[in-house]
Amino acid sequence: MAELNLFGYCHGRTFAHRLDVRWKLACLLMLTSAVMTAKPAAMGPLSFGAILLWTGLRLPLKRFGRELLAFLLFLMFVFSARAVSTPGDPWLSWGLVHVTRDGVREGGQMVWRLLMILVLGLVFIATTRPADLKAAVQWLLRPIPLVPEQKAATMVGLLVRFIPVLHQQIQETQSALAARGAVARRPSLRKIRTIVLPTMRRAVLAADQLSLAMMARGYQERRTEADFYTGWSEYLALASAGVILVGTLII
Amino acid sequence: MIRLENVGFSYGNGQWRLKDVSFAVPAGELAIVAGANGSGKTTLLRHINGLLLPEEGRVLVDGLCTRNALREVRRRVGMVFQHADAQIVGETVSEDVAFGPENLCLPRPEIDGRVREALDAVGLAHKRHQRPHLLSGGEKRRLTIAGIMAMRPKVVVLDEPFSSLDLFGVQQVLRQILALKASGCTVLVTTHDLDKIITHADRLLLLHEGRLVAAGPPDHILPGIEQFGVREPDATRCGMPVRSWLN
Repeated sequence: MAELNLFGYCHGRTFAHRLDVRWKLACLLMLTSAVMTAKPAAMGPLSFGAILLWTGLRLPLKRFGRELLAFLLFLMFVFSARAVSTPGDPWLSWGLVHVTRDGVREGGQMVWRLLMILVLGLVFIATTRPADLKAAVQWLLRPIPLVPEQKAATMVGLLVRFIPVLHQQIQETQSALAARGAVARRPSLRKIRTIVLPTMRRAVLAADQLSLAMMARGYQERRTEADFYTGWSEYLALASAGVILVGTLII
Repeated sequence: MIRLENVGFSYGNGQWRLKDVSFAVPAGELAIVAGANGSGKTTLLRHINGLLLPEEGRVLVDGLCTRNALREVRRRVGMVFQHADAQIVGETVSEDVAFGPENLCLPRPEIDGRVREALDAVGLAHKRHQRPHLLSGGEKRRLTIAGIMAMRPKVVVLDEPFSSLDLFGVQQVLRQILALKASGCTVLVTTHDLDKIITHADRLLLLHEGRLVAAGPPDHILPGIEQFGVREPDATRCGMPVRSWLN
């Protein structure tokens, strides 16, 4: 069965799980800004804090490793691009390609920052129920004129809901093709067509059935909305994120 | 009470999917709609929920016509689709169950209470935070039933609820159907696999090529049912009563 943990919520009762999603989002923005602006000296304490946060939330470390694999190629690309494009003393050379010491250092720092942001993002996703995320989207869009925030939030929710379904359908189509001897063929336009067309058709049919099911359950734009709450824990979280942000700017 | 009066419907290709269908199911009854593939069972159920409106005749639920009081009818009629995956809207089990009550604009504490109650009833309370696509086929089917139960409808219609389920899955879903009936709901179930539920049915409706060819107590209709593409239960072929799948 298709399982995309990247979009997964891990149920728990920790401080981060209980935090109001709007404040949690604000904290995420502040901490991300701190990571992006932090000087190398501040990255150590920030990383230590991120590890403490991850372990404190009792999120499975194995899972983080699995999620990280999906980003490994991207991080390698970022590192390589920085390593060869930053001017400086050549460290290694292959023909016209020169890897510089400054490039390796900058690439390493960039990958480190991205890793930290990834950890923060995963913490946010793993501790936020999709319904709360949807409610936050709705709340954020509300002040924007001419944007139907409830429709947009429902679409976000359905998108998240549909990703594993699509993934599963692609896998099923691939298995069906393999069962009929299509596995040995080289990648070709025909093979792409044989996967994409049935998957698209099934996705459209599934979307059609889903809309029928929503109608059958009385879907309407005016629905019960999510409850938001603000207490001392929200203020404490925001203050902590603020202190970290200011601290990184000072160091 | 469900009442259909001379209902006719076509998908616009000139071929009637339902033609001149009339019957009534009193409140609190469990009725089976049987028929071969393409006989119009699903089309019939969609009329009761108001997903489809008849071109001829009318459909009444508790005296309300689907054409004039669609929203009220949908509040009263819960529909469980054949493919559970297509019906699951929420990203977690409890969110999916809450979807219907949220559409009813109920206050949040009441929604939470209904979700708890429905999940307890179908035995999925321990999986309330799980993502629905990771559930088994039987669990998904029970989740869709819980989603309907949380809306507390007076009528529940289920489209092929036993398809692709193993013995335990069938038993679990059957228990839920009987529990719905025991709670006072009128229940309509489509199937061409009568063995699994016929012993619990009060009424059997037989569709053939969009027409209602028989309606009444199951014992009266089962003999000769095979000419309409529905297999008669082995027990009744041998002149014995059908045993419940729950025994």
